[in-house]
Amino acid sequence: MNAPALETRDLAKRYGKIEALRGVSLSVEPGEIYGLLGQNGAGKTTLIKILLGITRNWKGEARLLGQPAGKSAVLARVGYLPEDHRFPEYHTGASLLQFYGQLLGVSRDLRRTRIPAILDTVGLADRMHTKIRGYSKGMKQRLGVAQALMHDPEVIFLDEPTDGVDPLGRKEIRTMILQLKAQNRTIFLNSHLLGEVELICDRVGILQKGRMVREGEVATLTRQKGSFLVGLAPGQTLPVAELQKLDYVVAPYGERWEIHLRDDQTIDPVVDFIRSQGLNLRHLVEKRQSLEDLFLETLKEREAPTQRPVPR
Amino acid sequence: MKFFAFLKDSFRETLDSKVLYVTFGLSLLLMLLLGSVSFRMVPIKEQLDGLCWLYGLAFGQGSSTTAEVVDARQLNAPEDAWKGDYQFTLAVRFPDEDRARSGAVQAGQLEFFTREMFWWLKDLKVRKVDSANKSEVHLEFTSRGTRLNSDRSWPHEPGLFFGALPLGPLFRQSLAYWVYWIENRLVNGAGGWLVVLLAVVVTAPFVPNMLRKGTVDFIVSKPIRRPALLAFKYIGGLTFVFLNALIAIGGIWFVLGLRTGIWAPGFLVSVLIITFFFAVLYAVSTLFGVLSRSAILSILMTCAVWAILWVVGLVYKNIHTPESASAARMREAQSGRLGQAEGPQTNPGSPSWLRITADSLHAVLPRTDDLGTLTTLFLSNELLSEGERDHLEFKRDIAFSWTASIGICLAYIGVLLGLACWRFATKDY
Ligand SMILES: Nc1ncnc2c1ncn2[C@@H]1O[C@H](COP(=O)(O)OP(=O)(O)O)[C@@H](O)[C@H]1O
Ligand SMILES: [Mg+2]
Repeated sequence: MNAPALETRDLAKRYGKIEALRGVSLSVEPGEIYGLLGQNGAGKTTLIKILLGITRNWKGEARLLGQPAGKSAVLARVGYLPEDHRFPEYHTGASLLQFYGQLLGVSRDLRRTRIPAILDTVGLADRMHTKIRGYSKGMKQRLGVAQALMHDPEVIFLDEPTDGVDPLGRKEIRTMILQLKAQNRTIFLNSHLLGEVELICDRVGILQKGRMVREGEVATLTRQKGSFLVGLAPGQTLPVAELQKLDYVVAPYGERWEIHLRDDQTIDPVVDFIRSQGLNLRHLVEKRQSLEDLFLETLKEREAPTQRPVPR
Repeated sequence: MKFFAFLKDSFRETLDSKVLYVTFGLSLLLMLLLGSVSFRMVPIKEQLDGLCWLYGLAFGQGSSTTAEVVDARQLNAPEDAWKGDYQFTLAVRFPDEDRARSGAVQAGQLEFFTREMFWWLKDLKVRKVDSANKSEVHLEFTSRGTRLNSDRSWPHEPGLFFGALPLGPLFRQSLAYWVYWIENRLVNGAGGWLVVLLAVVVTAPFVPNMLRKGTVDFIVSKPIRRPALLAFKYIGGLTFVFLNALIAIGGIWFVLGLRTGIWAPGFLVSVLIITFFFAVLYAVSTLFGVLSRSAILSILMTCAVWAILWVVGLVYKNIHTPESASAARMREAQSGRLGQAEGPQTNPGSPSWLRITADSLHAVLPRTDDLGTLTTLFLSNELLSEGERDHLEFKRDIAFSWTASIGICLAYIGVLLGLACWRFATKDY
């Protein structure tokens, strides 16, 4: 198995009285898109800053690309789009990338070809020689994406990448992230926009008040346990009463029916029953909940901790 | 490589704040102005006229007593003026015969004044000669040879705009002295002051801007250690000021060389001195920039430190520099007690607490002011003839040392930058 691209264990950080992180453990494999979710102030940015050595004096373990976090050499292989960033406004888009490229150790030849290319990719080619001072918020965010990708990094940290970007721009950023995944890059994404994360992430963690309260693959987390939607050929009706006799919980759901399974039940007897009745099954899916539902539910659980033990 | 990246970044940042154009504009203006100055050798007769005019101003007692040139000539005529033997007669004119008869003091003052101004005439002898007008006293001066060594040490009068605007008798000095004055007072003194002030203002936002919330993340997430980052930023600003000073001062040096034929490369040392002085201030500015992340605060603190250093240097220098012999003579002459040989005094009035404070502060603080004094000495050595230096009593400031001044300044730069690096390296951003 490959070593993880990044890894933390019992990571804790205090800012004076504020406990920003209270023992967070996570691990991201190479080539994965990992989304860290959480409300504002949950500690998402702090976690990235620790991995990048921007924040110091923390407890626990943190490793990035096999090196202890804070080692500066490894940063040449990492791309970072900070949240709420402000570029030095005396630069133009192109000169800024020149400057950062030099600091990242990108050779002159590579800079010459890559800078115009990446600025073209993010749609800033025609404005690359004007001062950043005159850029709109969306343009600055695109430039932020460009500077995070210009040196072809192995791991990319994106802190609220779609913040302040219009819906079209968001879609473009999502597409770009998926392209990066196709190139086997590791992507670590911070966001409070759950809908977006759901669309692209392989795995997510939910951070709340400095603690990891849920973690797992998006597909697993959003699967609603034991709930299916059944649809029949037009004109046909499900014999609800018969199924209820078989001890299934059935409720109409628009033109379809929703079936809840009890802990010991499976869906197969229902399918057999429909067949035996001479009905035509047209639609059968396991019902999912959105990440947002999951998130809200998780928060509710956390606020009333007596209801259920905290998932680890 | 990374250093050059920072250099270029500082360059952009400086160009962006339009203050730089002010510096360039001012030095260009100064270059043009100096380029238009022409220097004219002043004939002996004219110099004596000027002397009499000045005598009237200084000793005239409400212009009741005046002086006048009766006659002046060079005895070894075809010889160059600066090698000349001279004979001239000056008259002191009194309102009436009575006063002329008791006018020994005034005659003595004129003689003193002449000797002061024509210090470069060798073997100057004076005797009283009879005059037809009884209300006048005539003094005949004779000299053999001079202490000058070329045309350049002969008194010259500058005229602005190619001589269209002559500056008059008050501004007659040797050509070498003029070059020295422009290079030392105008450029190294006032110009250097202005350059450093502008440089402080231009460079003070460098560090705070880099550390601004939202900007700092970009730079500290690059593969460079933070102390190196700060050092690059510091040296970047410094190099930039150095290049600026080099262009401005080099330009003036070039123009002055063209106009006067005096090419003293030592003047270019000013570039280093000004940059070094700025290096001390920029270290202060960098430290406060890291601590406060505010450009305004760094500018204020830097200027405060500058002011303190300046005052300490000034007080120290005044306390420890004895009054010059010529100033003492002038005081005696004016009070009419010529030749009573009180001699130079060492600041009679400075109280002991001031002495102790100034001495101890001078001992522990960076001696930036001493650098200015040392540069003056250095320039005078390079430009002025020995006779002129003696006359101006340049040996007085000998108490200052380059090694101590530069050493202490370097130590301060080290400590200030060390503190700044330590703070920067341990802070959470
Ligand atoms: N530099 C800092 N100094 C003091 N407190 C901070 C600092 N950075 C973050 N915090 C605090 O730490 C907590 C977590 O912040 P952050 O990591 O930015 O959360 P998120 O990115 O999830 O919104 C917040 O309460 C925030 O106020
Ligand atoms: Mg955040």
